Amino acid sequence: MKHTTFALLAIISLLGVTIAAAATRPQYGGDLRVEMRERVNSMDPRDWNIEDTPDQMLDLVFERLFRLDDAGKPEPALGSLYSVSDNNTVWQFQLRSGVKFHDGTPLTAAEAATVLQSEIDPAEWVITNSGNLITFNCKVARVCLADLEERLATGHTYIFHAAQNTVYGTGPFRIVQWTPQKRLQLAASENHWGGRPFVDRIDITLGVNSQQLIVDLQLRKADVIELAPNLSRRADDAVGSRVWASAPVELYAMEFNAKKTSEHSAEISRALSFAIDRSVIANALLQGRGEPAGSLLPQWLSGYSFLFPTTQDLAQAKQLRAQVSGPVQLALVYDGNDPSAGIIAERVVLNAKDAGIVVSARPLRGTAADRDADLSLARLRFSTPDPKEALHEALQRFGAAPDIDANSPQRGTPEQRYIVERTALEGGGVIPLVFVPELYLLAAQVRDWMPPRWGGWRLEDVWLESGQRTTAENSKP
Amino acid sequence: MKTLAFFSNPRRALWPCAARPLIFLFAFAIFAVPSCRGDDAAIAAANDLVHKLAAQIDVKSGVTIDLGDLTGHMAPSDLAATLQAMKDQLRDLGAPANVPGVTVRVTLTEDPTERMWVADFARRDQPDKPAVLIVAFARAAQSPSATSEYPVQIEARPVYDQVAPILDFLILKQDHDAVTEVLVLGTNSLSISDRFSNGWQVTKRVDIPSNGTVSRDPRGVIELSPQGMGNVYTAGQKCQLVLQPQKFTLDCAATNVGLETHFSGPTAAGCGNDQVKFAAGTGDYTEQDHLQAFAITDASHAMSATVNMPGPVLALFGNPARAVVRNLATGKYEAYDIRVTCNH
Repeated sequence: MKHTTFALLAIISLLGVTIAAAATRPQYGGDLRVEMRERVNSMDPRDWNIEDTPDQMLDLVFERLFRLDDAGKPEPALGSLYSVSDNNTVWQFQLRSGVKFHDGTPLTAAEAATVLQSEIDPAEWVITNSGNLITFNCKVARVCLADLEERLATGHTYIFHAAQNTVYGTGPFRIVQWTPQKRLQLAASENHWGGRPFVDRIDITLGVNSQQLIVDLQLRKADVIELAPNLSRRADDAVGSRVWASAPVELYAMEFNAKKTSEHSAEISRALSFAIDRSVIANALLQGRGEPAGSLLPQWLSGYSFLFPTTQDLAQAKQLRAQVSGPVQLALVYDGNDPSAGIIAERVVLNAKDAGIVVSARPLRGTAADRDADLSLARLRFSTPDPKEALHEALQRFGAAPDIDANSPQRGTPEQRYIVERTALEGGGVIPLVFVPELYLLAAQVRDWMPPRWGGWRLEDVWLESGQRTTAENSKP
Repeated sequence: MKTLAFFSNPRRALWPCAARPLIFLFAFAIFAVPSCRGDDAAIAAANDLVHKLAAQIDVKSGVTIDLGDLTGHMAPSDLAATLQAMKDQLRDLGAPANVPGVTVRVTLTEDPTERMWVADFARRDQPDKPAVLIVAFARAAQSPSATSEYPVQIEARPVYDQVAPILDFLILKQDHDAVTEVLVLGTNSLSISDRFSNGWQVTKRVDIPSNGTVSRDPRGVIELSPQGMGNVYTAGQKCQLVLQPQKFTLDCAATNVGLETHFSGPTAAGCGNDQVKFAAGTGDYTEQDHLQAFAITDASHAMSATVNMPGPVLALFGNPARAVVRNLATGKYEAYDIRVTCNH
């Protein structure tokens, strides 16, 4: 074997290393205006209703010990792995040094440990600190084998600092003004450990209806808007803009009310599943942005979802319906604020009727009557690109089947996940309908919009191309 | 077409790459050495699948394989080689050649981390409940290149990748075409990585002291002389580099000289007596990029076809020509050695 020495190969001219033009470099400055359909109630991780706040909004202000990289693997954010015991019962994480909250208070291991313990059940993990280290002691064998770094990179495990009734984060942006359900104004954190974000400010307007969102982008009143799949063709009218779509990350499924099961529930569930024309929902109603769902996980996440049938089979549906004597009448509730949910529910009503099943659909009213409905149209947003974690989320959400034991060596194999998923669906408690992506319509000046494949924002990496917007457009009406 | 005949032998694909020089010496000296570019991992996994299948069904009653690819990434020749390998394996296990028997649909598919062969077939005792077997295996890597009628052909050869950002890199050692040691400039360290049988490992590392400047779009460059002396430039800092067999040090100091000073001028690489310079596209970091060579004397005169890269070209340096790309599919930072050959 002949190795050429490094000195011979690394022949670099000391007269000047040169570079040619690479991809366009980002520019600093400007205000990014985002409009969303959703009305968000809280930006305070201590609130009970913080679960309803999208992670992409919280991630602008607050950070966790870890975050997911583009491959979906945990990477250090505010902390890094220091040591882990052989049996996974004791984990130690080193806190990133020099980090400050937005009010200037230094981040300490003591405060981080206290905050994390308020978010993580002490019956499962006891969290302590020593110097710059945070120690997690596992108390329940069943959770010890789970990937703790993954858990600390997702969900509500944010680290924050509360002072004088205000909560501060360490994220790339700090809150300037917050009006619940209406508007969030943010400014770039000049000293963020990952570097100052490119835009100076972000202005997020909430609760804008789906049609108005597109009009605002066309009138250049917004730079980024949330796009409803059923309106995605209208995006073609917005000249110069472009649509960004994630992989299909949301599942619409019908969930049976576990309290209202009967001896014929299994037949009715199967009949309903065969009756639904998922192709029309995905391609016509959702304008080609949907993907028919016969499984809990989409094909890109599982690799095996093509094995679950999605085609309509009315003959089979009628045959199963015929096994149940007397009328079958079901009440279906859905989220009235979600335009896609409404049209999906209407299609279910029509298809069910063809199979001899009467379904009456109505929006949720927030009353006790909602809980008495036979069916609900559920929406599940997968928060991770890890197939086993995503399946775990789905099984927990629908309570359809017990998850694979975390101690099982088979937990990581696609074949085992397929078996678990098939068993869950054979129970009949949930009927997958359609997978949809996260969609955004972006104005021409928005550059480096590069969230991961499974959606989100990452607005700290976005920059605005100068000269694309007039001064008048910079001020909101 | 000896090579083609060689590949058409389905059993060839079952030989591991490592054994191919022996094949060359002892058995097929008159043919070309088989390339290792075939999808060996896919074929090995397909053979595992056949063994799993044989444990589930009576292969002696006949098996028909219906092979498909949902990933769209496998070359038709590799797909054909896989099918033939599976047929041979079944035959070795006693499956008759001309008896259709059980039809097994075998599909190549993938999830975010791995590829998999999925076999589904109807059981005789439960025809309405398909049996499913899955064998997962690693993804394949690809090397971008372009050939054309242009006077120059460029090849971007991936030599190293990592999850953390790469600002610049240099190849330190290589064994024929295989790079075995690289010098990598990251956002806060300069490291030497060596390739071992189980992959790359950082063997030496020196930290670059923080000067309080953190950029979201960091840049840096390495200069190194044949004597192992040089400089490393990052934002606001110039570090004297010593890289010798027993010494690996950086001595950093603040500098007012902007990095742009070092990034001026075109990258040039020789092709005979002609000089070319490289350029990448002008898209942003969300877009796939390309490389192309142009004439030094006339920047509008393309000297090569474009080579598509798997993500934005973040840095493009000369002497030797090298590029750093962020792969949009994997999110990793990839170091490419750029080579020029003349088409005439």
